[in-house]
Amino acid sequence: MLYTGNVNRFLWYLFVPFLIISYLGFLVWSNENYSNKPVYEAIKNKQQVANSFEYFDGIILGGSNAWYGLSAESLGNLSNLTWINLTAPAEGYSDENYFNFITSSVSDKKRQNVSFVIYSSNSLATKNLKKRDNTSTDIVGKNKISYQPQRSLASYLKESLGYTKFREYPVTEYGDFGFDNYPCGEFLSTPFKPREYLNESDLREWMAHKIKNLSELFPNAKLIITVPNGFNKNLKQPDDEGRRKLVEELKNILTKHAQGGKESIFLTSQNPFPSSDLMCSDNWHANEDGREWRTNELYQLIKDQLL
Amino acid sequence: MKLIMLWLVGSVLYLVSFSNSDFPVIGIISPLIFCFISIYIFRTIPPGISRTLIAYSLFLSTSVLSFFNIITPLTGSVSESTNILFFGFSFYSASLAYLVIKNVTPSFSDSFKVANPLLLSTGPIALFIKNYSYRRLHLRVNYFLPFILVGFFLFHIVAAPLTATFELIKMTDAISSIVFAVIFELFVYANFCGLSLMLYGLFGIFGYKIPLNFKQPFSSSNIIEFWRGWHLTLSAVLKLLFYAPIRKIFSSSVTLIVLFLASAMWHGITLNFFIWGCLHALVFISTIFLLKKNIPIVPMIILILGIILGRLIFADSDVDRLLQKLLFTYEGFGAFDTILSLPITTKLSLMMGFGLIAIEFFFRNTNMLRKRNYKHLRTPISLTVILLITIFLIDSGNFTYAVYGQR
Repeated sequence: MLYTGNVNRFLWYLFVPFLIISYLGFLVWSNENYSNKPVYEAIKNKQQVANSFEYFDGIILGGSNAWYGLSAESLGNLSNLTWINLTAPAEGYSDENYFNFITSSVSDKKRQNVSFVIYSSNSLATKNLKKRDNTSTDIVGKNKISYQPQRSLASYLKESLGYTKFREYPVTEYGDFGFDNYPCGEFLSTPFKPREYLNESDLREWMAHKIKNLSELFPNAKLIITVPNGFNKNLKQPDDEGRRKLVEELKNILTKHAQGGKESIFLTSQNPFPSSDLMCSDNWHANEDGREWRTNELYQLIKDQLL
Repeated sequence: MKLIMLWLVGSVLYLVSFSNSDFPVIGIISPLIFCFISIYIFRTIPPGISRTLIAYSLFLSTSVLSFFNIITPLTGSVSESTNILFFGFSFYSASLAYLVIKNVTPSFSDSFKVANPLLLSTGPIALFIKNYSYRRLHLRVNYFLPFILVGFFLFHIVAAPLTATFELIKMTDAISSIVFAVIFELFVYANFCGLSLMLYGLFGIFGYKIPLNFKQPFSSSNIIEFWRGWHLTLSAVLKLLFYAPIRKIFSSSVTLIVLFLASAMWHGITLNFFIWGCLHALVFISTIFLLKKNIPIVPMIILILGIILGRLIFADSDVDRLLQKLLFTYEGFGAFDTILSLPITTKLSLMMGFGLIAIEFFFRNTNMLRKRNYKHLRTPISLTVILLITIFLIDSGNFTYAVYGQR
């Protein structure tokens, strides 16, 4: 019993406080050293793409749905215009991050000369507006310090032992996703992840905000808003009715907006991907073939607008 | 003054940790105003029948507000008030009802106890907050810090990763429904008990003792013992408001049915809670009968079946889907494929959670577990293991929320 008591005292008065202090130290270290390297590199490369063009006619904006699913190079070939892809993972995690990313990547002069903006946002099909407003995450996905580390100690140890390899997100000369260096892997079905389209009041708030932002950034451009779609055949709740209502409501809002004198906005809604063979691992992100399919479809829908 | 300080500390911690609302300050202030007004009314009314009526009205107002969808029924996912003005209403109204029916004339300072945002956002009903500051700080830390560490482990390491299994709720075949019910039981326990233990420890270190809301519910051999360890603050309110007065007039069976239906109504006016209340009343009554007849083992089997079936019903407020589940159709073991495809942290959580429940159950008669106050998890060696696992596994990737709080 004497020895048990000593062990208990050692654990409670020395080892447990030591662990707690070590944990606090780990939190600070983890915050200092956290880097989402693949996203960081991708963002940096996209900025270089934007700098490498003296001018461009069109720009693709949005989140990963458009990064994987739309090709600036293909659009350029189809339309004989110059396009770049300045989409960002998770659309920069917040509107403010993304806005700053665009202004820091594309000079004011270049933005003045842009004629077409394609904007494809995942926010229309996921209820993440509040989360985006309240997030403290920066554009590469780093959170502010909190009592929980962003990565667990286990994941750091696993990485140091060589069990975790982070895949780069390759970027092409037009800012497109470089599928040549990125094997997509097997398609994983996620049938229970429902599509959750924005309701009317959220949509009004979202539209007003977006149109204002994009009009400020690209004052001479025609804005083409495309409602993205995924592969829906395996979904338990594709919510086609929700999507129909969303598009209807978007049209109403844009019609009212057009009556206010802003006529350079065009809305289009894309069809779902016809096969899981066009998807890169999940039912939202296209693979190379899927990107070709979606880009072609979008071009057919908007080609009259590009004249 | 100390109570106001405690309320302020609670407010800050609530704002930092739990607030999902666009107007969090309203969520803090409105309960306080409601409590002030209620207490003012109580104090103007002499003790007697009118006060009793007010107490019952207060308790049942949660059901009325839930019926009109002003506050959401409990769903198991994030349960916020649909109206921020009614943040925490079900908890402070129950707490006020408890005080009034106990014939305590509440003072205005009681508002700061009852409406502490930390309690309202996590779940334990403030039946009492006793001053404990006469104990020296290091003694309080020695006693209460282990509760915080155990609670933190349950909440963050066991419960949080289990949210990855929630898609299983949509599967209606028998095996998937049962698997989900079992996992959801573990989730609710680890989440709610974890938060309750953290608050118990936190208030204790600040020098205040609040009720211990969970007492190893799985250290039970029948449903009666189970309810002596599960959500004790609500049980105390229900016992005082319903069991004690009704038992004087009716048989225990009738009293238990009323009691469980009142509990069901507090959780939400939905069909699934009605069925859940009836089921638990039936299990409770059958257990009393079996124990009186001295029939062994069967109460334990009923306990296990009652908990699993009860949770299956409790978890699903979608009536069509629930009715489909209750047909118990066999469609293979697809649920296990889903479990196998879950992230490794979720699988670890499942193992640790069921391991803890197994310890609670199989060692329930040992000295360490007999008092049902988590002493086995509060020993220095257990805390060291718990802390090491926590430090090793914790990250911010999981969605955390209080399963019972806020409504």
